[in-house]
Amino acid sequence: MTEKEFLERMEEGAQLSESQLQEQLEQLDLSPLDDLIEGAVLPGLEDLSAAEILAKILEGELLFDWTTLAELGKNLLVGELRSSLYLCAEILAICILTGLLRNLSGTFGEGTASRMAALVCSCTVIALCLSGFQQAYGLASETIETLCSLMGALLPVMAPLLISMGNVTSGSLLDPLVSGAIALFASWAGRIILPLFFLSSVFFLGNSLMSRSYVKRLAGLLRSAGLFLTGLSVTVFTGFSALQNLAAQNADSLLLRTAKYVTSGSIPIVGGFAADSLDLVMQCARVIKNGLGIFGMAAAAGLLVMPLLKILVLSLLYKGTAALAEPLGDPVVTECLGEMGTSIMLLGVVLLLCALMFFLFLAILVSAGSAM
Amino acid sequence: MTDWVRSIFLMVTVISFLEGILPGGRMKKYLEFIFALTVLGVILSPLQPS
Repeated sequence: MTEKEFLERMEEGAQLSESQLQEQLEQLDLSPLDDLIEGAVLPGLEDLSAAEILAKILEGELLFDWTTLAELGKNLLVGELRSSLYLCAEILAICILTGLLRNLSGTFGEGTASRMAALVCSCTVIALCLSGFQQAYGLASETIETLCSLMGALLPVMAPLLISMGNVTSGSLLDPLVSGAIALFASWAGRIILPLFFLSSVFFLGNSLMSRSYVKRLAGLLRSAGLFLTGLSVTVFTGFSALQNLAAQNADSLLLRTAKYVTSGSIPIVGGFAADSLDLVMQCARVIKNGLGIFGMAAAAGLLVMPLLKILVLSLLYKGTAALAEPLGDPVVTECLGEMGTSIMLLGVVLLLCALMFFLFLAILVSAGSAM
Repeated sequence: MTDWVRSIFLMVTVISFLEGILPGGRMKKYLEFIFALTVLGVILSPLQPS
């Protein structure tokens, strides 16, 4: 075969796989994903529908450019800090006034009325903190729900791809089991884990109003219980998806090799060609599946960034304000703000762990077919 | 669960105000102890056999 013929054959082959890819892409329906990625922060990719982003990934274009990402991250951070700084300034102003009041009333004697007045002033600070906490809580629970529905929307698209790739066992097992696990985790997180953190912060609040600790340990217990449950569910989910993939992979690879051997051996003339075109279809399906996996990871990361940043900034601000309020001598405000800061940080940790869980799951899916 | 937390929080708030209003003197220690027992009772109330 001359060089020219060889190059022509390569051209043909490339065109064949391109057309095969296009055909399979058109069969995919990615419309439910479009709504879900609307809130995501994807620099340079806004206003593109899910199908368009997938096409870009498959062409091998670099999705994100590190410098723009760093710029964006810095801008977001500074913006968040600036908007939350106002709350911090309010709290500090109230603390200073309370300290002044307490010192003034001290000269008139340690009376009941002055103590009551100091307590009431501290309560206004607590009310301000609570609004921030409510914001963080709403953000965390909303984002976890969106992440879970993103996964839930990706699965029905991935499962038929896996099956057409030849991984029949993993494909048919994937949909019901994993979507069940995701739904379970979503309801658990929303109904048990996040409320535990909220309740523990309520107890910390109540405790800070008292002269001695009444329910501090109880609050700590609820908080540790929430963290334990989160860690447990993340571990179980990841282990479960890894195991399921391993188990199904062995069965599938054997199935595939047998099918190819039988096809090329038994059908007289076109057997070899049939087996090879089957192979081409499977490879294209694998490429699309990997592209979908990358798309899922990018979308999850984009959805995660804004809320996580807001929560972290809020928590940092509360802790900073607590540190600043300490010299002013108000025990209620200091303790309350400090504990709220920790609670909000933990909400962010739960969000991060949830997203990590989904990343790992997608990574396992992407590496699923590569044992062939 | 929320009812339990709500009752504990209310109890703790009321007690914190009462502690401030407390007249002081000899009865103070006993009253504080009684308050502590009340809070303990409220915390353990879900375990009531009923």
